[in-house]
Amino acid sequence: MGKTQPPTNPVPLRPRFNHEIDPALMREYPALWDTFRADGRAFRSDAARWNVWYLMGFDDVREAFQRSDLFSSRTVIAFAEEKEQMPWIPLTLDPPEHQKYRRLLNPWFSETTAKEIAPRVRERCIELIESFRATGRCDLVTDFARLYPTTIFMKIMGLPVEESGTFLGWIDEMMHTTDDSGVSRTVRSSAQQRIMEYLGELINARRKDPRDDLVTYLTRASIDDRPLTDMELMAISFLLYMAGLDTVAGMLTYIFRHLADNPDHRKHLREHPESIPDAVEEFLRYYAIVTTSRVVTHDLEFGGCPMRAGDRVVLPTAAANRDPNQIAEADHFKIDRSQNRHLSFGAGPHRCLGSHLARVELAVAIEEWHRRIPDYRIEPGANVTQHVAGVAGLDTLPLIWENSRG
Amino acid sequence: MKVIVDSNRCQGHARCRAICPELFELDDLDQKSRVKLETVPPELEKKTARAVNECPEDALSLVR
Repeated sequence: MGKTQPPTNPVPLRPRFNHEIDPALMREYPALWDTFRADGRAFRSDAARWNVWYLMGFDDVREAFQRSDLFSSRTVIAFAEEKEQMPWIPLTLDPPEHQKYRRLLNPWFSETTAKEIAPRVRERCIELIESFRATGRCDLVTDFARLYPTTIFMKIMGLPVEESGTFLGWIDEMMHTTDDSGVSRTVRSSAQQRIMEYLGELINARRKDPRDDLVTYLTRASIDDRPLTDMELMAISFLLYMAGLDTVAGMLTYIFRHLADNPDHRKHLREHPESIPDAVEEFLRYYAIVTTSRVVTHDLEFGGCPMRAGDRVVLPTAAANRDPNQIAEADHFKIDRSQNRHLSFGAGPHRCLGSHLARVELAVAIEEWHRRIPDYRIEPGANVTQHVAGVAGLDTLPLIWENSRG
Repeated sequence: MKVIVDSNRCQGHARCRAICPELFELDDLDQKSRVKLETVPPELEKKTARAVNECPEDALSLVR
């Protein structure tokens, strides 16, 4: 399994470690993974009833993503009971079942489709930037990073764009209320409930009054010669909704913090817009936001860890991407890196469905922003904190700039 | 020089297409990469090598 050498040392234990709420990780994400990797290619946490194994190296993380026979995605939250995992289709399905659903969705998120909708993405991006440019300031998180991918995604789905504020509030409650208190659990499940009710109504509305959107398409799609059930439609819509709203937003917060702090990189991208796609790959590699998880399907040794069926493996894409065995100067950000390889969109059958759209959105944002707001900085004294959870991002990013072009 | 796509490993990341669109295309439905040319023209060898190296799944290989 996975280039295993016999373990010379026992796998380190980090008592009670949980990446979703660990204060040190929240302060030092993603560099803290490098410190952990120096102690071994994996470590174990005892914060759950089952073992939770954290893989730190590129090869191990990738193989775990690829080997869905050994590592099931029937639950993707490492510290949740399996029965707590609601179905998110196709993510929580394993092959071969998974592929049936994935094939329905692929054409909507293909590279070709992403290129086709790029002009609409650009239009929306410009509109947002122009809405605050003259004021000389914005909170990148609330004024741009969250609204931009959200509204594009809502258009694809067929959701009413003017309600994006409400949806983002629900997402916040669902995904960023990460502690384990009874109150948080109630908040999470009631937000989830409201999202489900909303999506249920949307599905019914599209059945009665079809439109040219993804939800309508799904109401007409079939699997194994039968139409999708309401439960399947909800499970698909719910996953797309969550995956589409929070991820690009998180990436944008790291990109803009980085560029605010590095005027030479801003200059480089302004003067060489053709190099933006390569820079996007380096941002994706260096500031990877996703830390997901899989269930061990049967007893095995993997990555030097004695795993048992029912254990979980955590796959921190940021740790894999910074593996010095994989990439030269992995802990350095190189804006013009020309040989790049990363697992920021995962690997194997569940490779991020939205990756092509995400790349377009990120490149367009960098290009259009710097045409309009070439120079800016983080507001002095701002306390910029971040969340890690399953999808990392900054909580706030107040930016200011000279308003000379008015 | 030839390049071969292992379609069991390919998961449609499309890095190869982004790096060398002259050589690679993607199937919209199953999202697998396909090689358009029988052999790699000399002027594309450098880009092809980069595409092979950047594939996150190691799905591409060069045959000389």
